[in-house]
Amino acid sequence: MIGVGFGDLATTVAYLHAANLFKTYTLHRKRVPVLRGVSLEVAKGECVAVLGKSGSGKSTLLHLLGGLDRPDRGGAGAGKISVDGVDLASLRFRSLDRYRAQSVGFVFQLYHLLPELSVLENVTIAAMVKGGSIGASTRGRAVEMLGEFGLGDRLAHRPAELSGGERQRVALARALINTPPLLLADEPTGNLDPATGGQILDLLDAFRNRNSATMVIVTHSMDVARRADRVVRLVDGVVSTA
Amino acid sequence: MYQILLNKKYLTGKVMPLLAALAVALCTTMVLVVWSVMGGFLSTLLAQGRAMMGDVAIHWPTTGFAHYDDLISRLEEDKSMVAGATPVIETLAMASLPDNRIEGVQVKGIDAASYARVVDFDQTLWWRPMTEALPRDVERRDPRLDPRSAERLSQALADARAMARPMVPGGPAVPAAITGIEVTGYSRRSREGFYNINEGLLRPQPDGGVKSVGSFAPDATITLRMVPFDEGGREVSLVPGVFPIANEFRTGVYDIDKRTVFVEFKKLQEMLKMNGGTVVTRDQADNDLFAAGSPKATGVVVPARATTVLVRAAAGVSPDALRAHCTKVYRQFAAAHVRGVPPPEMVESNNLIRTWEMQNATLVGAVKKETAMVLLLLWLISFVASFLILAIFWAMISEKTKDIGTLRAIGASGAGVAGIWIIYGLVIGVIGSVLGVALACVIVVNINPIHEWLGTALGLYVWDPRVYYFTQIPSKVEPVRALVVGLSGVMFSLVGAIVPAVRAAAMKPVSALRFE
Repeated sequence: MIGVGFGDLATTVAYLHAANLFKTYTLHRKRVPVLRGVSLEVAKGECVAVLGKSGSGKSTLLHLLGGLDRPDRGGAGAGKISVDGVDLASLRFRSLDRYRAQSVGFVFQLYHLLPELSVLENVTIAAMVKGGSIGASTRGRAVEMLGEFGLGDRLAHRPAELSGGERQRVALARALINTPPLLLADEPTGNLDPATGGQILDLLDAFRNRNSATMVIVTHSMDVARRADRVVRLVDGVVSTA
Repeated sequence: MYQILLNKKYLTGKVMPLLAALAVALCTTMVLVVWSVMGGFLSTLLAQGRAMMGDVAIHWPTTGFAHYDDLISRLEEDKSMVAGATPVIETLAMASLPDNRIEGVQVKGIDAASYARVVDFDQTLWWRPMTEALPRDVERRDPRLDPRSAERLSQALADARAMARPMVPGGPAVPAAITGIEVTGYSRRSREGFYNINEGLLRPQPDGGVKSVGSFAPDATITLRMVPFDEGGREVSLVPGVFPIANEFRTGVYDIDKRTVFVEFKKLQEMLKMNGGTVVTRDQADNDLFAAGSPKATGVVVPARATTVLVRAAAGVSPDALRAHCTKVYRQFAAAHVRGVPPPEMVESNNLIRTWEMQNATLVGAVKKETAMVLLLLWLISFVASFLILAIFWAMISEKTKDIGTLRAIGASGAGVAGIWIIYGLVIGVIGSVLGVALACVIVVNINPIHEWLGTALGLYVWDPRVYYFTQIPSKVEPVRALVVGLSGVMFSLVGAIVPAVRAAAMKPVSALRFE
């Protein structure tokens, strides 16, 4: 178990509150329900692992929490997400973009690094998106962070020149450069061997401890789930109580 | 900021933007070269015509109008508007050419001294000794360069300036004609732009045979048959006149060079009975064109007439401004000669005070329309470049879908993502346009040497001076045109970038991230 325990948070106010989330996609004119009324509360500083099989709606849930997509409205889907007291449904597109830039750090299974940019640029671009131009201090912070992540000698390298573990460390540095209060990780170790995956989780753990960040990790790995404060199981679009 | 960073990377790391910039550059070059040449062609045509015919003509055809000398004095009073004015008589004639052909020509009676103040007539006189060859005459085959002909050519030039030449060698000088260089058909223009005089021409004869005729027009004579009209517009009788040809002129406007013969003003005035004098007999019932109901009595002095007064604008005065000034002066002039000159309302309603451009509206209009049509076609072709850029950007955005998803995930807005491609299009447009305009300038400035090279190396002469008015292809790039074409290149590029940019902005982040 990493960070503070579930018991300590039981009486605290939820930092992230998701209630009755529905999400249906239309594929080839067929409606495919992915989330069927998911509710979730995460306390500030808590790390929750969302466990489930492929297609259970884990990633969709993460996208909704991160403001990359919106839950269904009307009918059964009257879902609501609030983060730190802010109702995401009330945010217009531009505000939702700002929310992602300022409050959320995404880590993806496939890293999603920009291939034309160097390691350093891939990290600093998140700061640029958040604040426009960046100063020497931001650049220095990125260099320092990459040094801590063991990539001090790879700053000018392109993603194609890195191993999977190195790429994920770069992606992690990009997610953390703006010190977001909420970290959303989608299978962060899914493409890595256990040892490298462990290193990534250690880095996430260290960041969370240092900054009291709230974290939701989507995984199908029990090993990863065991390191979270709490585990939520998603089965066919609903939270399983079993 | 991140848009600039990404643009820097995309622009330097891919071949596609280079191709897009190249497409913009080629289109820009193509449009600017054609516009410069066609526009230069039109400008030269206008300048040439203006130089030959003055800026404004006040015209009353056939019968002409009296007191033209007073009108000229009134016009020349305001030196800030008028540089000079000259009387001209214009009429039609049947010309018997030296080889017995009959051609219809326009005869212009000019007063050499004042005519030279109004139009650049002297510089159009073709036969004169020369030391410097025409630009394309690299082999110096122009007969005017031959020092053995210098004396004869000098004589021809002097005869033209005096508008007189002896009918036979050694005889007394008599009023002479100056014919347009295409009138006699003696002189044939070479590819280099000069006229040959060395070859004798064979002319068909009525008996089926051919006759060799001399090919130097200033050695020949021309017979002009004209119909004079009295001040009432009635023809009097057919008047023939034989004129030695003093010289030939070339304006570069084929219609003028083919159909115009200049003769001395007083001589023509006399032939057409427009020289004034005392009316000996007069029918009381006659119609007076300008003062009906006021018949002239026997013994009244009728003033001399001219059909046209040509006016040259002072420096900096536009033809249209001069035309307005001439209209104003004509009203004052007509008020001073009531019943003696055409009323101003008739002159104005018949549009008889005209700029050179108005007089030659058909020719100028045709060239203008041709230029506009060619440009329109080229703009349309250039618009294709927009679609090329659209296609290139569309492909790039498809390739970058995942990256767009990533950018949206880290907080980039739809507008911010669109901005990447708009800036990209702008940069490609600017680079392409700058390159294109620079290339066009190099081509236009060197278009004549390039054309020469094409002719020498490949036998490809697109601009044949035997066909076109000018020996040289216009080779000046107007800065305003370059600016318009350059900005259009940028605009087309931006237009091509907008649709893909909107597509990028409209991408759903989740779909983009999941794009395979």
